Amino acid sequence: MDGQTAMKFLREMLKIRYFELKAAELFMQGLMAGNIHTCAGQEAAEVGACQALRETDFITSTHRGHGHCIAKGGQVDIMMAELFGKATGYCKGKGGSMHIVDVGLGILGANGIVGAGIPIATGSALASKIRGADEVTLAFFGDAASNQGSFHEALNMASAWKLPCVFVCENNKYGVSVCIDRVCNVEDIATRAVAYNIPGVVVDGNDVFEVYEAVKTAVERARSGEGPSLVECKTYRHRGHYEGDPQIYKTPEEVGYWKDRDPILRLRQKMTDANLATVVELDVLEAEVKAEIEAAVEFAKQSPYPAVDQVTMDVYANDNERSVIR
Amino acid sequence: MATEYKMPQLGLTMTEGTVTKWFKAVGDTVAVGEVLVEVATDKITNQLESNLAGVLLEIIVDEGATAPVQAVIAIIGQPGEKVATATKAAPVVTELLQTTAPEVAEPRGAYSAAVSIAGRIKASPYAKKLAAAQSVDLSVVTGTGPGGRIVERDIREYAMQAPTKASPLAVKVAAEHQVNLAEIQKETRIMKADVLAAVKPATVAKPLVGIRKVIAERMALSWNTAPHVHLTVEVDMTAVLGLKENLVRATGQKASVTELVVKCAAYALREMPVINASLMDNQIVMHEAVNIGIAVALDDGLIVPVVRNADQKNLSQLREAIVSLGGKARSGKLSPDEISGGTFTVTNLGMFGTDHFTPVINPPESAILGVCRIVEKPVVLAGTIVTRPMSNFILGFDHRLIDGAVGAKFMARLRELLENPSLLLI
Amino acid sequence: MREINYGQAISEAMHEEMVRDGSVIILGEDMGVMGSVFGLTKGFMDEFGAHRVIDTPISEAGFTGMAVGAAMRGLRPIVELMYVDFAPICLDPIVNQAAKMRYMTGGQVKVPLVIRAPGGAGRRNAGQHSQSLEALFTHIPGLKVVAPATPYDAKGLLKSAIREDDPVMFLEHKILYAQKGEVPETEYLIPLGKADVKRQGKDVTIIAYSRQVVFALEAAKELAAQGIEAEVIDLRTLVPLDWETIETSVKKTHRVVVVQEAVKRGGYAGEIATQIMENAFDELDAPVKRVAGLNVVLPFSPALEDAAYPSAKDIVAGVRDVVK
Repeated sequence: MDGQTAMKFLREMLKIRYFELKAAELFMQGLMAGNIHTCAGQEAAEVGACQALRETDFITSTHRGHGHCIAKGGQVDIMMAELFGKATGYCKGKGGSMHIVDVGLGILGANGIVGAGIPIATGSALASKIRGADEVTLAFFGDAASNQGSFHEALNMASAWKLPCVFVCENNKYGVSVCIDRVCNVEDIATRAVAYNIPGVVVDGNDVFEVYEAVKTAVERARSGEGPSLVECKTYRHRGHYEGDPQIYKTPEEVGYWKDRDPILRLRQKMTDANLATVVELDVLEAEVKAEIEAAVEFAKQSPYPAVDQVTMDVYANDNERSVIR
Repeated sequence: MATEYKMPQLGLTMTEGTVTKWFKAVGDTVAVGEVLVEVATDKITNQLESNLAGVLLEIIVDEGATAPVQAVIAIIGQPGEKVATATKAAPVVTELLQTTAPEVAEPRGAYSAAVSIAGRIKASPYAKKLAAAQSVDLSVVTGTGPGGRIVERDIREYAMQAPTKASPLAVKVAAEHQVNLAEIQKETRIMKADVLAAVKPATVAKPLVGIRKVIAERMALSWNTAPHVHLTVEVDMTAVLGLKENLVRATGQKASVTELVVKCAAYALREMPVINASLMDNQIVMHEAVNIGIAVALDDGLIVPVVRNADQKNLSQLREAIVSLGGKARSGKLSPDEISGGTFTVTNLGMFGTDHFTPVINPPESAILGVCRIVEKPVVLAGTIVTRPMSNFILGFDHRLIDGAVGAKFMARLRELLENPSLLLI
Repeated sequence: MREINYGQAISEAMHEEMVRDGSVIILGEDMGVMGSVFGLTKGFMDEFGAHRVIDTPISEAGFTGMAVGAAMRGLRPIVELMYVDFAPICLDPIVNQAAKMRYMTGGQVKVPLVIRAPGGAGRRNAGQHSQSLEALFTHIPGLKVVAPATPYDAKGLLKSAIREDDPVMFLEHKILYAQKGEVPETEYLIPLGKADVKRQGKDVTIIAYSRQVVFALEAAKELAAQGIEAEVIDLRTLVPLDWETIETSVKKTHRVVVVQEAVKRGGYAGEIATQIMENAFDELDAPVKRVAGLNVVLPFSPALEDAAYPSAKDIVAGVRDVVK
């Protein structure tokens, strides 16, 4: 671990954290419509995994996808504008919080359907393989998605055809309100890899370097044509499933346990312990990130809403108007 | 198997029919589509075809006899078949293909088979379109479609028989202006000018916006939520007019009845705070201030500027306030403060010669005072008929808050003050 | 001109497009070694390689989802669902992913995906292998829906569908696979969204698609013997609907029968009838009539199956109803 890398990782993690806290705050103020699913607490898994990818690699994301998009290079101002439903957002206000996409950055999309991104990522890997390109596609998903058929079908085919993909499960313990150990009889999701004869590893999802190393190994394996791997990051969702979730299913002890293992506080501690940065330097970094988020909010607020005539645009690539009317 | 042949229902209003002619005799063979019987109702005569094939076994309702709808009028079956009573207990749906022949040369406008109970003409959309284009009056066309519906062929046939007595240009203009050529009474050929003369002036519609929309909403709200009661008193205005003259003479300035009325009303309101109240959110709010709105008519509506603390103003202050607010109202310069916070409204239609009206309360106020013109009337004073300047005052009030007797007491007091303005000095 | 059958026409379309464009791939059950259960991709695997003609596991939701991902990355996958009855297994990738991707990304993404799915009754396959499910797809904005009736149309439309940048549901009819028709050897395309008047007539318009076009033409012949000249419109593409062709015909005949093999309730014929009612009401001389399948599960027994969906005789009866 060198100071520069650590600072880079921390900056990304802070960006996610403050983006999420700000989004939650704005949602509570009624400035955002719909639903917001925040990933505060899971930043190490998201940044660690994406840092192991190249710019030309691809990811698919989930309904809790802000962190993945930021970690893969998404611009917070354009993202925030999308959350506001503004014309300047990533999807021109048509997707919202759950559907941030930037194909140019390799973000094939967050997704409102649990588990739906996994076959899409696998298909992306298939496209790379057919083309003979050395891109890797990484699918992010949660513990709950590993109970969906799409997970099993995709892992089966990815393994059978040795597709260049990496399956990263952020096990944050909960599918909405249901604890994974109540609906799944394996201790670790990663053991499901055995069924498909691919590597399955468990890492501390709140240790960004541990995630980074494990995913890096999986990415290298995928890129070299040896096929997919499953990496399970044990982590925790600090906030509710959605903003406003009363979270009656969590105990104070559990919440306290995971707050003590906050991935950002841990990284800060490590950096100061190892003399990679001073507290002052880290505080300056936080202030910079906060300012960046504030600027993003300002950009979003100042941006116009989409013109109403956009409602019928882009349903189809060809013959759109007639295809919408008839 | 013998099948019952029943009196058909030939329209919603038909309850019974008279058999006017049997086209077949008992023992005759009946083929599908053959005309079997003629039935007359009070409106129309129909020749009915059967979709049953067989032999006419029995005629139950003879020519000239009348039978209710769905009564069995004949039995059709196989040759030699015995008419079983069981068939009567198990009715079979008899579908009749109906060919309608209206009674000879129906007069124009008479009912045809296509006219249903409500006088609605059953015609296909395309038949209607064709009829409009060719200026054919649907009420004189006989429908031959299902259920007597007028269809395309009926219009085409009719048009061929009765060519329109109108120039082609007249027909075109009639279609453009949606004029029914049949309604133009003319012996000779209808020309374009005749059509244009028949064009009815168009109704103009414009959107409900601005002050008109606000008035519409507020008046509807008031009328729909507050049960209005109106009561009228007739007031002898001699004293008020005398006081007005004295004021003009004493101050050298103009004066009007309005400020005197407002002064008296404010005085009475101070005495009877229940009139100066509002019903808001299920609470009765008694207003501390007496703020009197003065209705001002504008070209495009009505606005009610408010004289604040009217009870604390003297007559010249009242006059100054009313004149100033009226001017601002007409020039559109009233501030929001000047049109809100009223607790009671005075509306004067006297200048328009009105003798009586029922004003609508200006919510959330609970009462409104209507003022009429002053007119010299004969009245009896101490047994003698004399003329006096009289005026009607109407109180419109919200019965939810104000009972009739309370309103009456207020008006009695107002009349007392107007007829004896010196009481204001007490 | 040479005659080939509907299945061969579909096979030729795929073959030509695979030769023309290296980004076209085929994914589906038994597509490779076996050459598909209907024999449409025989020899393709040898010619184009196992990486372009992919034998998938029986995993419809999985490989359809993968096809969406591959299409987002610029490939042009042709997915075959062995029977359209299997589409409900993979409605998420079709309805929530492929159909919505372009709109929800603000126009960033194209999903050039063709899902071929044979459907239709008449092969005594019973309720889970005989349905006509086009209404599931016509209901979903973002999908285009094609349902050809002849070998010529099938080939020209499939080639256009493969080149289309939107997801296309290409609905074939199993009974038609053996139906022969003239197909030129030279290359041609038929644009999506263009209906074909298969027979001219002045008295009534019969609107049909897929196998019911065959029945409609049979019915028209019978009606002509009775003195009724029926115009037969083959829609060919259901979305986008060729309204202009429908409107022209309605203005000519003023009477319409819409035919579908699918169950009547909630079917696409109802949509067409409603569009006519909304947009050409004044042209109608009789109510628009639907001739459609019964609202039942398709039965196995031939005695029952034949009663469950329309034939030429039912179309004749339907027409006689509206020309009264």
